[in-house]
Amino acid sequence: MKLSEVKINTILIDDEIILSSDLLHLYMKSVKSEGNINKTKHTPIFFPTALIFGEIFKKYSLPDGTIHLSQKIEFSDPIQQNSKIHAFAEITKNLVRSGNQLISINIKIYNSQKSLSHKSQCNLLIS
Amino acid sequence: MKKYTQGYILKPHSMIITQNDVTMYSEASGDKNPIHINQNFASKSMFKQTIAHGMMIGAFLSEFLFNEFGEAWLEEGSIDIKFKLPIFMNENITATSIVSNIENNMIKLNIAVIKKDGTEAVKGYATVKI
Repeated sequence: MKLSEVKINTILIDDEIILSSDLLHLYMKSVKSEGNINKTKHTPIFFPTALIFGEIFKKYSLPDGTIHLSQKIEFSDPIQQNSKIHAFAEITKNLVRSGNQLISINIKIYNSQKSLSHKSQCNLLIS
Repeated sequence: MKKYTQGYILKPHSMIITQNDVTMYSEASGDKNPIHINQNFASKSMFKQTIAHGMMIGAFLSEFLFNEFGEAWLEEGSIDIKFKLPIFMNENITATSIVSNIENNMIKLNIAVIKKDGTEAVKGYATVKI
């Protein structure tokens, strides 16, 4: 199913995700910052949300012409490397205007202590 | 931690984005949209070539802020960015930031990712509690 066909309030993911150490190393290598991994036990801010997008896009394909317009992440409780998180993502906006479609996805991430760690909002434009 | 004041300019951080980097990011994140990794597919897109993931540029910005603030950056704060221009392979990008305000131990920053020609590819704000 295409993400563009998903109705507002649809839950895209409500599941546990493991922040694998192997994936973290590859992720940090891709932005040439692998050396930062050993400077902290916390996970990088964008890493959990990146994995959640990966999971969403396995279930819902992105139509050609999809552009990531903006990304907001608020965080208040660190997430440990190599830990398990609970991810909740839902479609909060799906509007068509002037031939363009705007989709908003809200994500909440709970860390291994069940504390709400990250809240994020992503806006996608399909033209 | 150093004493920050309004107008403080963070040390810029640069990176050349390669197809190998973007392919690695795709493998790590699971976001295998062909616009990022398949040159044949991308050549037929509006951009005519592969582009970096927006979230990958977000990761680059986040590491820039980690380099400045250390673990404080991972503990409490926010980041809000708009992707204004696509970033193509072999482009040299630089993360920049200036302190815009400090209030109640919360530093507010204007942040951007600038291309070599001076254009802003990403623009936004971040906050970090110190």
